[in-house]
Amino acid sequence: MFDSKLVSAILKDYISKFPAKDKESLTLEIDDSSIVISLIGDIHSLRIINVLVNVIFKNVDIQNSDQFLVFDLCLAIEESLINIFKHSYPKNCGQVELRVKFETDRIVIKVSDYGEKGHSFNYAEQLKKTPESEFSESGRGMMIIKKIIDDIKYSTDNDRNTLLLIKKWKG
Amino acid sequence: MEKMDDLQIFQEKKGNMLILRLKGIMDSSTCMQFGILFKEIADHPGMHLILNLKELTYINSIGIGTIVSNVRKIQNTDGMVCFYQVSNEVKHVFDLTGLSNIFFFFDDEDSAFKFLAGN
Repeated sequence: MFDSKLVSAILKDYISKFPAKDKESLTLEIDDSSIVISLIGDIHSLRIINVLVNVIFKNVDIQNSDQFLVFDLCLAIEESLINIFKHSYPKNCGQVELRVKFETDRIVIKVSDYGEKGHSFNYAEQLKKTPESEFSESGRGMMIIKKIIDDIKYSTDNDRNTLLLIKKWKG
Repeated sequence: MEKMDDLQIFQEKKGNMLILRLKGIMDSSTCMQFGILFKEIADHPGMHLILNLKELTYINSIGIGTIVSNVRKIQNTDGMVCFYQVSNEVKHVFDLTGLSNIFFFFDDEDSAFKFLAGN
């Protein structure tokens, strides 16, 4: 399902075409079953990660199981990152880390930040919330994640805050 | 390169109806230009808006939030808003956020036009 050499080559080709400042802001690690992307940036850096995530999922054999699976995974990751940049860092800028692991019947995604405790987004509260009204400008990110993802857990370990997203798929 | 596109907005005015065709993606980097345009529309009471989203290939919660909050502003000035030819991906995000039930969606411009003309 996951051909690490193929995905690595395609990702590196994409990254080589990024502007220099974008290239410098990110690191990429790939092994036989997982990918780690680390990036220092802000909400406008989402495009970079979204391009890479699109490339990853489109080059892994998961697309036939659900028409919107690739789209949904990219969207759930982007919404998680939006929450981090909006809520975890006081100046809306900082380090994020994305880990994607491909298992037999599920995809395990970890989205981490190193925001100061106290500034960190309160997922327990947010998971319970819905937009204040149908016409609210905000409050739909977590709603989207909950609709897409099968299992969501939030944890803090030392300085790292991690949102764990598990998506089951029919292999 | 995939998903690095910006947002292009094409405008056409027919009487008190403004038709906007959106092409590209609507996210944190592009929603501001849409918000500015919406504000101009909201400044003209009674103006109706028809949005063609056939070529809008991606939208996230920030883009959805921008549309929703500005639709409300237009409705507050006696205007109406409807959508037509919405791409599958964007309609899917409207479905995920439960907004498909509160907006009007049509298959073509003529149907959207007739709907607003009758209201």
